Amino acid sequence: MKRLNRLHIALGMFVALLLQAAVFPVLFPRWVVPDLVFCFSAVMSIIEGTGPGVVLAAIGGLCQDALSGTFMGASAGANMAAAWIIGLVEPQLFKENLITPVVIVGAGTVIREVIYTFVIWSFGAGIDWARAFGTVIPWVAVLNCCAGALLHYWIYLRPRDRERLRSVSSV
Amino acid sequence: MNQQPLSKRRIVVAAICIILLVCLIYFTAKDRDRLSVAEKALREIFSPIARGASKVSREISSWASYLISIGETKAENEKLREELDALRYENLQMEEALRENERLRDLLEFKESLGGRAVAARISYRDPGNWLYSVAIDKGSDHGISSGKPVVTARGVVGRVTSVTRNTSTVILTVDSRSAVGGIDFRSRDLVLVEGLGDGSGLLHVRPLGADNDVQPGDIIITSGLGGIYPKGYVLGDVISVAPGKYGVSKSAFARPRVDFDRLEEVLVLIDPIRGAIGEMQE
Repeated sequence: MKRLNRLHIALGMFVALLLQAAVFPVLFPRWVVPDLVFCFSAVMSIIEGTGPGVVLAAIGGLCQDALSGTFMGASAGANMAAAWIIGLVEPQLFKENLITPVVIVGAGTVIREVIYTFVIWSFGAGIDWARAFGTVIPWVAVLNCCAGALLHYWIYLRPRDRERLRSVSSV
Repeated sequence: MNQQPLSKRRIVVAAICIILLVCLIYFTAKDRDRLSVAEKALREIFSPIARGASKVSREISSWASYLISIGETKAENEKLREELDALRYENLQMEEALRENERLRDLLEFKESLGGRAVAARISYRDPGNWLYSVAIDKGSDHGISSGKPVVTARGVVGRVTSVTRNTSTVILTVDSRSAVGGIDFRSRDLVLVEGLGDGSGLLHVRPLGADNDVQPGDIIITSGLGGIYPKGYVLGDVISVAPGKYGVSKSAFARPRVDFDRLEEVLVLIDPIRGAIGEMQE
């Protein structure tokens, strides 16, 4: 499989941040925003394993925190922890379909959001836990599952299918 | 055999990471006058692009409403519909320009009425997560803005600046759970504390400070000017409900801000506020 280079990853991260902070809140005001930055690092953890996933989660999380201007490191820590857990189960995962990555991204999102809310709550932010567990976290998980399916197909399945087709045609 | 030292090293790295992150979060959880170079650089680069993306999104949104409106008029005569569509599109563009014009005029009139020094700014982007209610604006320390400055619109208080770079500022909105503003009930003159609920409802929690108070639904809550950040007389919101507190001793109320935070586009940062909007009027 042709791997993503650093430029592609940086560009992907930037687009994810732009969509999260400037596009979705304008197009869908009052809606829950998917965490595309985490989604990207979760998919990378599923494909590449713990190392790249955690590094990407740290960079993406720090960028999110820097744009927030507060609780610097909270997103990074939560993203890293979730990406690390995903990386632990990565060797046992069947990656050739979309169901496994979708389930893993959904579960990872729940872990990430729980860690993040707990951390910022510990440092003084008010969290409405009923809304958090009743609305925000489930919706972010669902939206991330959809985004995760697209990303997994785009980064992993599509290039493999193409490669397979190419090798069949060459034979 | 090699697993043991490797896992030990991993534990040490993880522990160092956790300690570093906890320290970082602790030191950045409060308002900051100075941001790190990396934060400044990222925000300076991101802000204008995000502003452009927001503008494009708004265009797309208005195009979507236009397309929906086309769908609703399918039954009409083809020729008339074409004319109507053209006129509608023209009208939409004019309406958009008119609205922007109105908003900016209101802001300008409001700015002139304040007497003090104020800077008009546009919203660049919103907090990328779902938990914090803050926005970034396209003006910063180069325009005289510093941490702690109040941010308002003609409709009322928006929030306060928590951190600045040269060309951007972060504004924590009054609906955020970390926001607390001293207020006065415009009718009864009771002192209250107005806190953001931060639960997505967009409401404010109004806590009267005295035991003997007369806060009623429909009352307007304005800033008291006592906290040292917000000048007196800016509208915080309208009381929509009043309920007895936990033990029946105190009362607590909820207010709806007049500012529509979901559709906020332009704001005023009060650099050197002289007086409030309606507080002086009453006095």
